[in-house]
Amino acid sequence: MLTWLSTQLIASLIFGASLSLLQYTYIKAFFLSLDVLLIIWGAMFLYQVTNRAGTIQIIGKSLAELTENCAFLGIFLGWLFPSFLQGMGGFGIPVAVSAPLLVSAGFSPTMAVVIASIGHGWAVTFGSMGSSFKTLMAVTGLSANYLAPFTAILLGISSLLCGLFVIYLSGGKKYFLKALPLTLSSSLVLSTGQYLLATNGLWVIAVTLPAMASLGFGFLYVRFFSKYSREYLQKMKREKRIEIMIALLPYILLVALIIIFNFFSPIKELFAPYVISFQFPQLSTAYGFITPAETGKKINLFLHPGTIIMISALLSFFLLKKKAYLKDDEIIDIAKDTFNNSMNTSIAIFSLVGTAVVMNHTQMTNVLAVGISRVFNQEIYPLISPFIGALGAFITGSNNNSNVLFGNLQLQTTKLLNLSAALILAAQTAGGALGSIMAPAKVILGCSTVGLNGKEGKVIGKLVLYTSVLILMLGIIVYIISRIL
Amino acid sequence: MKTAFLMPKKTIRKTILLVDLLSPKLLYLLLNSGKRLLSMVLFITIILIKVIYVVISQD
Repeated sequence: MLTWLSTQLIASLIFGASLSLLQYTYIKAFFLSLDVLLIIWGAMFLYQVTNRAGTIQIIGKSLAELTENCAFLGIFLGWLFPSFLQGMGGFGIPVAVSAPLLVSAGFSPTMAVVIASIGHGWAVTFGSMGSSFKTLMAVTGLSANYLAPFTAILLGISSLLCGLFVIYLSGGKKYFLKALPLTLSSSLVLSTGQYLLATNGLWVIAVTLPAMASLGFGFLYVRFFSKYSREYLQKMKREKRIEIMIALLPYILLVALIIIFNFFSPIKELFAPYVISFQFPQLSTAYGFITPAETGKKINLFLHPGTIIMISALLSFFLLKKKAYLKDDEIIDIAKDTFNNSMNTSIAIFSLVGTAVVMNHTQMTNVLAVGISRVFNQEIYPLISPFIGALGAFITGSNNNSNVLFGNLQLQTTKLLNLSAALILAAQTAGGALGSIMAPAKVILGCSTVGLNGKEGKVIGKLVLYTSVLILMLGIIVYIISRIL
Repeated sequence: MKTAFLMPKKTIRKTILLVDLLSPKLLYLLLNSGKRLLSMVLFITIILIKVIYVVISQD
């Protein structure tokens, strides 16, 4: 909020923004924020429904009992399960849910938080129902078709890197080679699934569905290759199998609804006219920096991913209520929890998007981009770009906010340095995703769930070290791709 | 935590969220109907509310 107020002041005193310009940027920022917040509110609502019904705990405990191998436990509870949770809703939930499960499976609290944090890092951009990716599109004005391929490639590579870190940290050298085939094949499922979904307009479920598929794949893998798991599954009672199926129901429903709303033409045509959008006039500063007249962000209230998630959450509530997992009056508590838990995020997004929009309309972003392009040349910038995204995420606590702050800055810099915007923006958001792993806001929440209050510094220290290596690897990959292009 | 105005922090945050959700649409309507003075008053009020929020909530 303070940032938003200071930007308003600097914009009017130094960059010549009139009161009218500031007013219009405030309105534009509202629509950009709403576009992202609808998804965040929907994702939080779905999480509250499943959490109150206890289905997340059912899935987590079943995975913990499935194997006794520490590296496999790391794969299931520290990589695939938190990635799946990140897919449907982030906000620190993946670490907060997975870390206690890892502790109960025998990991130390510090390693539990570190493993779960690294494990879900790759999934942040397309996670939370793709809200960070949606933000990147909103602030840069570029389409999903343009941004998705490189973003999915870099995050796909990151999924493998995160998986390798997880098995090394959970099983050490002893189990690394044993867990390698499952890690490589799971990563293949995650990255291929993510790429295919993201590049075909289904970026909302580009993490949720591949993570579900890789959990299923991992289940089959241990079923065939582990004697312990085979015996455990043979002993599993029918009631427990039904319980797991019911626990998965909300997510199956969500995937089905998203596919129907995206590919079933009669539904698309029926709701297509219900679009909200406002026309904005040409805006200029006292120094002559012009933003042309434009139609603001178009939001279709019925076909918006946030609405689809909300509908699937409501349907899940009624189904789980029918199966006696929830009571009638719990919908009020769920709504209250959703509101309370998303309030701070909503205020922060309104403020940060407002800041970014003012910066873009008053030449501030351009000035910064010119400065960066003078410091780094065309060759070295691709190596640096993921670190800028990571820095934004570390400071603001989320990939989403990093994209708001630095998305347009990176875009302007690519224009000045004549680089591929699709590649550099992918590096921005992938860096932001990995950088959010070590964000103090997330780590504090994770630590609080395993009794590490007051020892967050030690965890952050370890995370900064591992994440820096991950981001450096990502930077080198971006550098190599930029040299090939 | 109680503030100087004896308002819980949560209530202040709810107020701010309400301002963020409702004021942009109102501002747009005022600007488009040519009521520039009223829109200026509204925008300055929004800024003042946010200044007060920052001062009392330290956010």
